[in-house]
Amino acid sequence: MVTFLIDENTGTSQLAILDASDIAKGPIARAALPHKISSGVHSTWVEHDQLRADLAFKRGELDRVVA
Amino acid sequence: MQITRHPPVKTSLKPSNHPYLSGAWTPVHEEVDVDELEVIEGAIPADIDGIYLRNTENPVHQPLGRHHPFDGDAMIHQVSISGGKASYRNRFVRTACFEAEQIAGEGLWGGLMDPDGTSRRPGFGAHGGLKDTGSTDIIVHAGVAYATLYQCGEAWQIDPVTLNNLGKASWGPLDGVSAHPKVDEETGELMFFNYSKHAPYMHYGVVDRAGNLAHYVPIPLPGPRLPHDMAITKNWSILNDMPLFWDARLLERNIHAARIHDGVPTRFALIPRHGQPEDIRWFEASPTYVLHWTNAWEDGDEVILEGYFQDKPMPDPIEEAGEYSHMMAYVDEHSFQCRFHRWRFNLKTGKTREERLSDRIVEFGMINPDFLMKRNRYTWSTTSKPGWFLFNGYVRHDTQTGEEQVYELPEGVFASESPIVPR
Repeated sequence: MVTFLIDENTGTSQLAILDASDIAKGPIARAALPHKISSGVHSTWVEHDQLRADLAFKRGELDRVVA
Repeated sequence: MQITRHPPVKTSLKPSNHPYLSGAWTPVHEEVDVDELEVIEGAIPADIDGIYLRNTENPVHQPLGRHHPFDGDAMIHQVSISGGKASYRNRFVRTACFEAEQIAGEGLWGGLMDPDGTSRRPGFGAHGGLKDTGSTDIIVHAGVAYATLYQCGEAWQIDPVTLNNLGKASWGPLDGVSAHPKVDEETGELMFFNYSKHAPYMHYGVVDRAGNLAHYVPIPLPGPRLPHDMAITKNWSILNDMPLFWDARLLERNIHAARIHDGVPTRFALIPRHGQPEDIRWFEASPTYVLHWTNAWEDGDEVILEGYFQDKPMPDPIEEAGEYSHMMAYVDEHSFQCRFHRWRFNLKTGKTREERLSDRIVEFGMINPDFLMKRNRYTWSTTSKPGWFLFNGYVRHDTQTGEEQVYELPEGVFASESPIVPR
């Protein structure tokens, strides 16, 4: 599980990763962001492999058009 | 950690103690790139290999009227993770309205709570007077990230890797695109909807993997409605008509006041993915309002939908918030009381069965994306600080055993919507 934390006690933000199968133990990794971010609504995750597959599909479409 | 800072945007926003312009809602205006974030606790698992995108509300200009938390300008924060390392960057979504306000050096559009006539330019959204910000949702389809607005606007395209703005999607129809399009990674299709104040009041569409509008049909409704989200299964798309909508009499005077309409049921439209309006199967259910669905799937004669049922869609105002008493209640989960819920639509009998899945006040759920459109055992919901739109922890629901696992963040620490990365 991936998230950004906003820590109002320290005025900082972090990337945090939790073990989705055992959330109760809290973040298993945290990394410092360069600034405190604002809150908001939604987010998403995309795999690099998915982006590579999408790019390959687009190249195929282009090849088809050019041919 | 090397930080690259980009030229600043023009801003006219003054510091404020507005509840949603201060604290954890203090807007960020700088845009930066960081090559590698410093890990300060534990270790990033080496097998995580992807991109986290988070849409946030960051108004750059002084509001023309009363600020609502969903009036902000969109900023995307991105972390790209690979080999146990994470890079970071953030960029504003440069919508046409954002650019117009950059040129003007001040705000040009009023917000959700402002009276008709506040905006200095023709407005956008189903509402008709809003700024098209793209600040609600962020999804990725066919290699393109789309930022969308809950009130319907253009689908603003962003390169998910560089966060470069790519302009508006060519497939966006006249009535716009609502937040919460859904992507079927197997077929490469994107399903979306929009809604408006003119008949037929709602449309539904499908965009193919090449980015073409492949299907677009009316979902006729009795009048203007305020649907927020949709769901998909392998064969069906699920749209909704719920009894919380703008009062019709006030709407004639261009006053946008949402209220619950007693005696009006919730209705669900099940339309085959590429179906026509005459193929719609309508199902009635108990009155409520739902912001978000977590998943839907097919099981024999049934289509099953899970999401968050509101017990009090028209919450009591939070009086101590003064002029913001209504707004504060409408963004407070503990006021509108949303709980994890399941709807079962029987395609044979046409009947709906419902069941409550948890007594906790939760919303903004995530599932393992590998289980989209399949029965999923686990759902991860967020909890919120009472009185506030701030996430202060998580609940993992096990719908097989009813067991719940809880994590509460330390006091004063708030989370973002938190996707699940499959292993």
